[in-house]
Amino acid sequence: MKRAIVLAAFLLVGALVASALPADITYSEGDTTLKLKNGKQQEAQIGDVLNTGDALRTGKDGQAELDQKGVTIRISHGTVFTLMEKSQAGQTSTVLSVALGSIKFRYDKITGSEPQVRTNGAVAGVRGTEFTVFSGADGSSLFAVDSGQVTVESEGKSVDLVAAEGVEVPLGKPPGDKFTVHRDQIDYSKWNEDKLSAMLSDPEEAMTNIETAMAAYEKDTGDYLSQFNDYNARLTQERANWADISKTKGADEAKKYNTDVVYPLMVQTVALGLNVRYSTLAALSLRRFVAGRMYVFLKAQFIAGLDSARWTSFLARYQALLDGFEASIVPQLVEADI
Amino acid sequence: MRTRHIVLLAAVIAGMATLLTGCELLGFVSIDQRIGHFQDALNNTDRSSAYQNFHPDKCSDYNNLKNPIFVINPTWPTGNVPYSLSVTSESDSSAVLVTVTGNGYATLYLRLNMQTTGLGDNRIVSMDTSTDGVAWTVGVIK
Amino acid sequence: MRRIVLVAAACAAAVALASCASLQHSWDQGAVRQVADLLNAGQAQKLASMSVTPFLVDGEIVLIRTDVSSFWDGVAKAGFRVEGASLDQGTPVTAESYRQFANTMEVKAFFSRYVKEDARILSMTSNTGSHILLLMRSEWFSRQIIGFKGPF
Repeated sequence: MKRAIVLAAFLLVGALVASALPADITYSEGDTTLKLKNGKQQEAQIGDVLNTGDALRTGKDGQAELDQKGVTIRISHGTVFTLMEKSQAGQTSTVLSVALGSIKFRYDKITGSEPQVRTNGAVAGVRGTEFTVFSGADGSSLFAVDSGQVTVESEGKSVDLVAAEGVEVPLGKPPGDKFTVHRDQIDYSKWNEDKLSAMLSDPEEAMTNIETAMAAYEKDTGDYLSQFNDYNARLTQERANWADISKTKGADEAKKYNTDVVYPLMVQTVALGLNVRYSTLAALSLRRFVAGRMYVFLKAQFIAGLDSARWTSFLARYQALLDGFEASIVPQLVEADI
Repeated sequence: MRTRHIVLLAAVIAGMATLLTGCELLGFVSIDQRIGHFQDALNNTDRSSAYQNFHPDKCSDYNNLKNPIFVINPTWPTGNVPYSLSVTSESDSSAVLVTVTGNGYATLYLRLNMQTTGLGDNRIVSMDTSTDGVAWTVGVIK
Repeated sequence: MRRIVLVAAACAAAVALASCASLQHSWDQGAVRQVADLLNAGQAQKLASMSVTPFLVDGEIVLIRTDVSSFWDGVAKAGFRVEGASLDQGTPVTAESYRQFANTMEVKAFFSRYVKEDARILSMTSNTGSHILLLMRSEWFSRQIIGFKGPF
């Protein structure tokens, strides 16, 4: 068992690289806001740099373009875009998050290590080269490929898209059927308006989808936290073993044990902690940009009749959603995340 | 000693004290001072401010560090305090070399990319780690 | 003579303090009246222009500017009115004020990060007995709405 841990750990240590690339703002117009991970907010300017954890938001008339080492990212109006990172199979990699709005990605060339793209309900693996992601008010996503290949995954099912193909992914559900879509054919504003309208006219259905998606994030967070705690406990034990070896077998043996066992465990434990945060922030994005927006719009709609059955029914489910969020996600958040 | 001498001596002492501490008061924090602050943070029972030694704009893990459970504590367990951090090379601020020892703790070598905030306040942008100072694991904190 | 001066100074200070308090009460009343009038007139655009982002609706943080406008549009479209509105109470924001909106980490963080020290919580009562909370402050002699809760 120990040998297996050593071998696995060696592979992990060798593989860990910082591959989360910053993105430079090369164009900015209208209402565009850069929200830095430390909580500061400022108007986005050409030359500003997004690092991991930073977000760019465009308003009604905002547009921006980013360059991330060979990828051009064109951000349309009404969009929330965040650079995230996740540890997978011993590697830390960038994840481009589209919580709301529409973004077009264009890769100069495919290297095989393109970052994943995520929305509130789906994850896309990219083998380039040009595609657009739409993230709707109800949490649904639409992926449209102009050239290259994109694999879209949700709820354990995946769909491969090639040029002129698109797929819609309802929140909390697997991808739908592929369809033909040509360059710039989809009007995001109209598509999103329809999604918002459908969500507000059937809040029960929308809540079911949100509950499903949130449950998945809470499970992921719980799983990562559990893994992190396991590794942390093992790390504590191996450190105690190292201390024993130092006393009983001498410095050379202890150094070898540290290099082969303790140190790789430490690195992997830290990487798992990173994944807890990734999953937590993904849940926060769903809570803020889908669930929270739905609450605000419905509150306005029902404000003159808050005793209506529809509102009280929605409120009960919403409170249950928040209770789960408070218990599972909030303990992993920090003030600057809000 | 004449009063005039006492006053002069007091002024010299005050001036030196200001020189040593006043720069920090003005916001300038040297690499050595920053590593010293980080050491103090690791040796504090409350580690929730340790993140303040990292660059708020350029360190991607800045928010992840705010809860010490996920990164700080696994790397420098509270059971091995007090930690001692020694700067062994700072000629290149993008590769500052630091050795970390602790009570019953296997020596950890750090290679830090440090950059200043606008006021000359040196902060840690990223941290590579090593067990021997030769083979580095890149981006353990970035 | 010195005693007369001291008594006069004490009286002046008391008057000044009382004036401050009554000035503040007057601001609070004016703010409540202004928001109530705008609500009753369905002036969504004006309410939106007074509102800042991030904005708080009950325990929900609104980060997108157009969503704040949509909220007020929705409120106006729903025909929401606060007839006979009056100021119930106006208090300065304190470290515990967030609990009045929602006792959550997120709302606590909202207050900590986005609500300045000079903001006030105004409780408005309508003639039906319902309450609304407004989180407001003054900026360059105009009023800003930072949060809205209710009716409850």
